Amino acid sequence: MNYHLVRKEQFRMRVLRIDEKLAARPKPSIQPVERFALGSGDCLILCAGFEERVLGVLDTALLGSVPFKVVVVEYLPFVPQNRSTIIREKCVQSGLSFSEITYDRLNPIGFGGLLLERIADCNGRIIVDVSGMSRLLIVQVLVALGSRKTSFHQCSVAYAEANTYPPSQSEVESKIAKLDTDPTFSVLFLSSGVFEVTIVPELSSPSIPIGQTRLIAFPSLDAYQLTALRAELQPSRFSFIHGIPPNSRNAWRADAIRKINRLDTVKHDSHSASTLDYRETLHCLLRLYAMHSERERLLISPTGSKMQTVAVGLFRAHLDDVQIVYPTPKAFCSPTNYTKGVGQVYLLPLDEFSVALS
Amino acid sequence: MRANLPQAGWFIGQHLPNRPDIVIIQLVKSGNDGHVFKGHSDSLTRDWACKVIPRNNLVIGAGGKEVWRSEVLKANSLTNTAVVKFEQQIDDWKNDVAGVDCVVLVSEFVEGCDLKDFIAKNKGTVTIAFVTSFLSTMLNLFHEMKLRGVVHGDLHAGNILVQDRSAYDLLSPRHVFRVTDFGVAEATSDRRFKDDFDQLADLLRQLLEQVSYTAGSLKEKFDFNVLNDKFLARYLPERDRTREPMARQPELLFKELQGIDAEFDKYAGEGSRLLNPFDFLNCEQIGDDESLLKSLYSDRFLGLDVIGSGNNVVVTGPRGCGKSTVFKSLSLHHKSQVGEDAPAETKYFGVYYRCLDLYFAFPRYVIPSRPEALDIPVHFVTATLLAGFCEVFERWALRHFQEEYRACESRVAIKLWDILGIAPPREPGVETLRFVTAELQKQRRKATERQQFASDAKRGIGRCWGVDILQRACEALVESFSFSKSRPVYFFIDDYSAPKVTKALQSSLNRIFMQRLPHCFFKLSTESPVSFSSGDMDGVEYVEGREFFMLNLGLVYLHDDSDKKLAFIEDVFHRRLSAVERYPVKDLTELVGSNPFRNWNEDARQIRRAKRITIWGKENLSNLCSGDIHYVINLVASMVNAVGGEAQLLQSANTPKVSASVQDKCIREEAGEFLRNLKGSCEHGDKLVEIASAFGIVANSFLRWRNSTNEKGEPPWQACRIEPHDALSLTGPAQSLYDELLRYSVFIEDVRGKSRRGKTVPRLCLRRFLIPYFNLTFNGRDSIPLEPEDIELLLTAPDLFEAKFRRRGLDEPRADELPLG
Repeated sequence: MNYHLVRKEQFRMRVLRIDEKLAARPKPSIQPVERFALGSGDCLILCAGFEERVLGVLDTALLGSVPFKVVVVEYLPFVPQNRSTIIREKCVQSGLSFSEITYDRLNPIGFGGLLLERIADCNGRIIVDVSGMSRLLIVQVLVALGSRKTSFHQCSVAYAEANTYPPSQSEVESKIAKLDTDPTFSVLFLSSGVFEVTIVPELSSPSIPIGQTRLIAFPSLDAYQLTALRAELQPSRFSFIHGIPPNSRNAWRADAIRKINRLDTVKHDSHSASTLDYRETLHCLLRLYAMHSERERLLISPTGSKMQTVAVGLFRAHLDDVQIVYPTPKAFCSPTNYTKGVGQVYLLPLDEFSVALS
Repeated sequence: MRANLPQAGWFIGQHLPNRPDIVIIQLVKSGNDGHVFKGHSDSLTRDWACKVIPRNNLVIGAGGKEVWRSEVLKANSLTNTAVVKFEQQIDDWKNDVAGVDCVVLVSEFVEGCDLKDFIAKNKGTVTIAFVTSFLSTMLNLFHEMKLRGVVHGDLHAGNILVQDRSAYDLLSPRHVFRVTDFGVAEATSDRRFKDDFDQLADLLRQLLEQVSYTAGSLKEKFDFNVLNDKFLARYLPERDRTREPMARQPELLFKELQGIDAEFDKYAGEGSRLLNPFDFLNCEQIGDDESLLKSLYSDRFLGLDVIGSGNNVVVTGPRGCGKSTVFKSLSLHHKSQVGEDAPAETKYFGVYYRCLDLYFAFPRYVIPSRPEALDIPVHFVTATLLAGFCEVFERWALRHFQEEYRACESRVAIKLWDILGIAPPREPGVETLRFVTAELQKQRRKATERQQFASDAKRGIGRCWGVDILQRACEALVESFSFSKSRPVYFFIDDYSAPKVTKALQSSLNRIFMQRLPHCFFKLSTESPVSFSSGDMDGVEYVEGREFFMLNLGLVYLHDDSDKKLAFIEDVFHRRLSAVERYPVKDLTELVGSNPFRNWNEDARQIRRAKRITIWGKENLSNLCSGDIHYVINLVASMVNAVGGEAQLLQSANTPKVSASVQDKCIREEAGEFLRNLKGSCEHGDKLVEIASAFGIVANSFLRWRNSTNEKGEPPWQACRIEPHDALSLTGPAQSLYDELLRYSVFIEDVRGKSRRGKTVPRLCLRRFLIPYFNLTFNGRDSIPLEPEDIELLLTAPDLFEAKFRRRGLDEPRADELPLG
């Protein structure tokens, strides 16, 4: 009798799919740091954007004394206000060896592979500072890192918050009021219009395209992003993940985003996840995958916060049957209207994610 | 015990004591019980498997009874061909000098490898088809074992053989599963009897662990989950039938396994019901809910006869005109799902394919500079379409012609492997369409990977299929069965539109899609005539009317004066309103009324007097429609919402239920909403709206201030189209805007007729539902005549165009303006 029980318990099991393995893994939390030390074999990848906070992680790392390597991602089209000159000066002053790599926002295909070639000789830790990176770039970088033999071993994400995040509540409300009276009025804040829905083959899903498509998106203050995704991709189903800002002062944004995007006119299911704690987004994506991947082709548009995008990148690094689609903004508003100041710096070690991939 | 095993090397070259014709030639493997050797008989010209077991490892019963003997021979009662049986005669093999005191069990020698080696060689690449084939074989065997009271007792991956049958056996499948070592566990001293079902579960686990879930198709994912969640987690390990009726019931389990396909097919979407007649506005929203699609699909769709004809057809029309709905509804998959696939009604095998998939695999495709990379898209599309066809064909054939299909499948599969030029994997089941489909899925993946390195000269590309493979494979398939001969394959290729499917990509794929052969026809839907490229990369220009027929639904609807359009719209609404239980309105007339009044001149005068007219009634809904039925449904939905929704309709005693003023307001608001969305839809959305507005303002000023001179009574000039006087020669930026206007159907290009100068120049008709927004009439008589440079001006500087052409008072003759009359 005992024999039977033992056998039965032994076999009452399932094979864990890759998403279930990822769901089952403990996930590190994002850690606030005041300073962190990098070694001479370590490499910091950062983006020369125009926000003040793009310097936050570099400055924090420079508080440690050992020189490290820096890879500066330069954006095309070039924005004069970006901070590449300051970054270069800081590297020179601090005796850091640095190299530059260009990321063409309007033609980003294959960037992950190029970056891997650039950091191939890095034998220490790799820190990816996502503070100034575009959403698509974040996903490309993380998926590229995950594809290495060593996967995410010795990799971390670094992130600097800003002190203030425009637009203000009053600005948004006044534009929403205008929208009510003029249906063709464009509510624009940080970016305007959509250049195209960008697809990069390395983030494409090769599975046979039967069944319907589900778009998983993070509605934002730029309604054109969702409009373009709907128009170009015509998905059958929608899942929207609403960002919950860590600071309750910004809680008004969720409702404003609903109004600007007229979400009440789109049949969808709603989910919420912190804009800072990436684990909530990752769990949400894993739940959606478990529910729908058997019957639907999943499209994910990483239009949420930077840390939500990190979750998308980690998710896509494990699940290559998910298609990434990204509404590349046509233009950005004046850099002076962007985030202000440098807030808390965070570090997220990614080593744990190598296990599920292996 | 392994310690009892004699030196294996001693046996090599020895003859079996009582079968001297058999000589041991090779050690195959050694286990705990004994050694397995390959023996050969020259006289019989065949190989044998010789299992040598030390006597000390055998179970001896009371009084020295050789109970082991009956154990190993028990399996000989089985008739299942998967069983590897031992010869009845079991001989001793003794040699005191060498310390050998064994028995030798002789059985046929199975060429191939065991499952353990197979798994080791195929880590992460085991296919679901292989797993299913294995499980079917085992459950079929278990069924007989149960009936005959036989157990194996030591099923493990080393005892399952993946046999490669001799190539000279033309009848049977080349690769099959075999099970060996029946009764050996019970016969040997370790007596490590293991439950067969538990062991099968463990084998299933080992196989599923090597399946790449993310690499599979949706069907394969479904199969994986059923095997994992049901067979592995519940059915196989359970012993108690009160908890699990399938427990220990191989016959039921076998049937359950065979029924997975039907279970997958049974899924009817999310079980969506139409709760509101205006839900599921387009085919994409309906998704895989086939019954809903059926209930909403109208066979009064204009142009259906052209689409169903035995020709290559390019269908174009504004977004939301129902192209996808029709294409999907004509596919065999849909027809099977809704029970309309009876052989007598199946004139062709329709395969639906949405080109979003091409966009994902080949974004921004350009013709590669490396010649060997040219056919990557062809390879990809061939694999995709053929896989789609094989899948639906197999299910349809099994449903209606199972016997013939089963009898011929293996022959057809071999033919397909041959056409594809791929050596089939050495696995059981490869001579099935399912395995071919699994291979095609792999080839798709290969093609996308190759594409990523298409420009990297350091990377090899490998061989790609040519443009003839799809045709040849389809021909081989349909011609191999009596029931499918004479039925062609129709590939419904949806959304074959630039820029998503770039013109370069089209020029590569047109080499397949424009072929004229009897077995395959291609129906391509594209957003607008400019989103389709009619040439190919070899420089061949395909001719409309010869290689393909063009069906421009926008024009069909624009020019329909037979009331077919209204009949279609009424049918669509009737279906939707009836599909919702107890909906208070059953037809369009009841909802919006009938307003057959058609005096455009009077309307125009009214606009002059009161600045606007009230547009209402079902006839005007028809007037508003440029084929974009989805817009009309959405519009009526907004009208119903505006009057308070279903509850208010129920209470309302008005006729029609939605008042004329509400209808009119909604018509204008929805047009505004279209323009707002257009702004965000593409890179130059703002500009497109400016162009449309400039034209609308100018056209309205003509209506207000100019009269038609060739009509009695000189009615107002009512133009809602542009008539170029000469062929356009636009600059790059202007051409790009022109194409975008057509792509989003802001204007619809009308290629019929000639300009006043006798030139064949397409006219540009304003999308119908924008006509009231700009206070124009539906009168199709007049146009705004423009020189090509003025069209360039409209496109590049709409504000200047407006300033130049807008009338602000009674006819002001302008020196540089063309006469209207």
